[in-house]
Amino acid sequence: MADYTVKPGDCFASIARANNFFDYLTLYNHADNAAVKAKFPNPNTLVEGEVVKIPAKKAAKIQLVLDGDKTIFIKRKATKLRVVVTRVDKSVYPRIKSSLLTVGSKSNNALPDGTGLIEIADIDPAAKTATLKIVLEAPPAPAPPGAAPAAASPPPNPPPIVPAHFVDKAVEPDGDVTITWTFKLGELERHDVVRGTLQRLFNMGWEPPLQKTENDATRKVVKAYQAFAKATVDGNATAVNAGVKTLHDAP
Amino acid sequence: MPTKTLTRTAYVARTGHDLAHTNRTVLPEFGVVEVRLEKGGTKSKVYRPDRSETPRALDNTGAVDTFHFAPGPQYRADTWVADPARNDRVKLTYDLYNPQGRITKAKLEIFKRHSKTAIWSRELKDAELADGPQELEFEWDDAGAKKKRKEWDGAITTSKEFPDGFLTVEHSPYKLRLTVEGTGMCRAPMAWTYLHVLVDKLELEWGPPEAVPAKDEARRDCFADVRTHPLTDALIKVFLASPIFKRSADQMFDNTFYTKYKKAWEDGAQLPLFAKVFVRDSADAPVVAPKALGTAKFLWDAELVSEATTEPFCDDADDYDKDKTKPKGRNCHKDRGGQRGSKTSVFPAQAGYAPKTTLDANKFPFKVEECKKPRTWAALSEAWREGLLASKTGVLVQPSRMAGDTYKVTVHAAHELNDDKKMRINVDTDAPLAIHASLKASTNKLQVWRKVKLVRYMHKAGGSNMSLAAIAKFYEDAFVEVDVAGVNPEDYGGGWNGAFTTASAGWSDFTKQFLDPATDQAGAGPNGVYFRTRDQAKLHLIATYPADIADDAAAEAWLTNQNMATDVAYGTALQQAAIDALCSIFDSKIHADAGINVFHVPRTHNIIDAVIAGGGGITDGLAHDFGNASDKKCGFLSLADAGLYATFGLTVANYGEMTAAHEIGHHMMLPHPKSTGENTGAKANNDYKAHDDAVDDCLMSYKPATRKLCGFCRLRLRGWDKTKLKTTRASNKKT
Repeated sequence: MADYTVKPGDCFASIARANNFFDYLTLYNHADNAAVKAKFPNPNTLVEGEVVKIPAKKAAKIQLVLDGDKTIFIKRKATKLRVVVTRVDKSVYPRIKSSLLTVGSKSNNALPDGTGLIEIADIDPAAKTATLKIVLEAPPAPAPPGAAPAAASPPPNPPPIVPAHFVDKAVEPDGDVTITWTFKLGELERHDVVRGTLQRLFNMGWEPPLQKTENDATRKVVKAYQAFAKATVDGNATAVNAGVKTLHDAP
Repeated sequence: MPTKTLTRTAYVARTGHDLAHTNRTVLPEFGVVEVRLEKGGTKSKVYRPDRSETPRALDNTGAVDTFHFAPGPQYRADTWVADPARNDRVKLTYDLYNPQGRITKAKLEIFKRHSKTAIWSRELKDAELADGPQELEFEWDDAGAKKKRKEWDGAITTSKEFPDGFLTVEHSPYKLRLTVEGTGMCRAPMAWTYLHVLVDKLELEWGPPEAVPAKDEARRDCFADVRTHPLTDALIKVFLASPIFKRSADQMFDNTFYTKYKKAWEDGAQLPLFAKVFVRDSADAPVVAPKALGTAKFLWDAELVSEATTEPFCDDADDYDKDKTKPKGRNCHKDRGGQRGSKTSVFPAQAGYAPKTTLDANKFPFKVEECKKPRTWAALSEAWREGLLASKTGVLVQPSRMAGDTYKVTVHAAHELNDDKKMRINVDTDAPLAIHASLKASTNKLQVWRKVKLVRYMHKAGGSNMSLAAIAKFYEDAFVEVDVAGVNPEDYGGGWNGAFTTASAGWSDFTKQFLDPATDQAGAGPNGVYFRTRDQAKLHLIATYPADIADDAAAEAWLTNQNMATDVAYGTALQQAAIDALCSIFDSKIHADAGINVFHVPRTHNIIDAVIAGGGGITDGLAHDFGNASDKKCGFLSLADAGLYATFGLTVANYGEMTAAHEIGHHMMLPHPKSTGENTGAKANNDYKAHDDAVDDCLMSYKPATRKLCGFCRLRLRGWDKTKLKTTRASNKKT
């Protein structure tokens, strides 16, 4: 029995793969990892520094009757990548022009469904990254204005606004926006540690420092989230981890 | 539209074969949902660039483009005193879409038209960048302590254009803009709204007496009278006191009156006319908010609105170049000595002085300058923004001295600009200018009149009275008011006999024969002089000169030899002596005040009725140049009453008054027309330039009919230059 100390990006699937276990559940459900399993109900959200027991391998015997060509299927407990692309209020982006989710050799170019979900099943356990490229189309141009009505003479009081009289420099809204996410597979930590909370907030557009402990910088971001969530604004990451988890992890 | 490429990192978890958890990835996004002003249920409409979008939609339900309020402190409109309790503060609200706190900078700015530079800006602080609707807090100086309120009074950065640090009507409307910067997608980087600071109305009022620059009593009295008339009156007469009278007969034929009247009144009256400027508050009520006016200009325009009279001679002269001057009109043209077409402005430039709580004497308070091209005949003024005249502006109206010239003055709020950024109403067009009714205020007619006071109406003793009002009526056609107010008939009183004795002392011995020294002249009756009757005279001659005139036949012969053969001849011969005596007697009664004195006796002497009965001629009035009179004081003798004219068979009403008006005309330097035979000698024919050639019944004639002043006389009385007038109607017209 060896110990393996979790590094960023590790999950039971990747650890199992790295140690030539066919099925990550072999590790996760191993009696020596019972404490870890209890601590991490989700085997794919570990925390850096956690120690996972790597049991010794046992040979498995399979009896086959070789009376002809046989195809052997060994059912592995595969993992998948489920990404939900929405606004922070869970509304889906309008006018998604294209979407491409890629993990290793697998990809999905279907547009997100009505909840924003994009998924690739049975992803390579060894994969460390994935990418998602989405193009959001600009809103359509409004119909051209009709002919301006003839100016009244004399002008009324108050006079009509003539937009052309204001020459302040305009700032244009973004047009088509192309976003490429690089997903760091397996690096999402458990929600109830500070960094896990902060990672989720980061994923959802907040920009906290991804650190293990709280400070003013984390509290500032948490406060922003709390204001958005209409929660008590105190900057305490622990106080929001459940809500953050629900928003981030719930389908 | 600019495209944008973003890259993001996310930390994701695989999902186990038997689990369903997800990794929500959200793009950082921010923007401005709206920014607007609100007050009392009214809110301004919000705009964003085309193709803007935020998850929270912009809601312009019920919003308007006409949001307005009255920035700054206010005065009470009834007392015109600053009242700290009055204000019209509004709320500045905005809504940022910023759930992830990705806005790094947000700036509120206010722009005026045609300028890229903000006149006010404020960067929002961290707490003000929160997601969702907010009301902006402003810092207030509350009794020396800095406090914050979610109210805005329109305060901005002080600058030359905004000297009091408040938004003003001058540069309205304004654009209030909120712009954000940050990291992430931004489909609504800015939003804006428009706001107005509006003039609600202008109200005209006469200024205070101190505002008359002139120190002379005449101009100050003129304005004192004018300001007793409310500006709502349909016609306000501007009376120029002008007791200017002849001192010699020659002055009726030369241009003395024009010269003296010009010297007295030159550029005319000085009438301080003010405008109260009200700003429209957010509840659409007019309020006094002086700081909201800034250096806004007010354009004062004069219309020349003299109307046609019933006298074609005058009307043709009035029409001279009436469509060619700026402004158009029928007031007296500069070529006739008038103001129309000249460089003399109806609104002379004024330096004004700094606002204060008490006014300087003899100084016009507001700065007034000539309007630049093209409307150079107009003037521009500025308002005071503090002090006694806060929220008021004004001009010194200087109508010409020419009686009959009529003006209508309009003040306009002149801050509106055209597409060329120029004052919209500074145009070379006829009045009225195209401007909304709420942005202007007009007087009714201001009409110049001369005023000559009748200061005394005196009888010898009793006798019927003339109607002084009827006398005055004859001069209304010439826009001359003969002011008879407060003048009551009075008798000469004591001292008549002494004065008569003095006056008659110089008579010849011959004339004295017809006067009985024992006659109580004062008690004998109202007539001027009481002579012996012709029969009494004969008895006196027989008694006094028995050696030479022994009997009645001798007396008759003697009188006949003296051209006194009949009562008519007798009375006629004594007329001049009586007149001379009356001129002497009444001379001491010339009133101390400037004006006209009327000395009235029903008959020159007691023999006059006999003269008339016998078909003789009499003198019924005389514009004598009394010794105690001057060029400001005159008097004349009225030597008839209504009964006398009835005896003549003159049925024209008020004949006596007409005669009196005739004599006044002489004192006002009007001569007789040619028909009286005065166009002789040096004044013969063409040189006798005194009347409308086409009129033979001028008041100044002796025609026994209803008479009126002819057009030539009227124009002279109105102050026109006699030397520039022709006596033929058509010659005075030029169109």
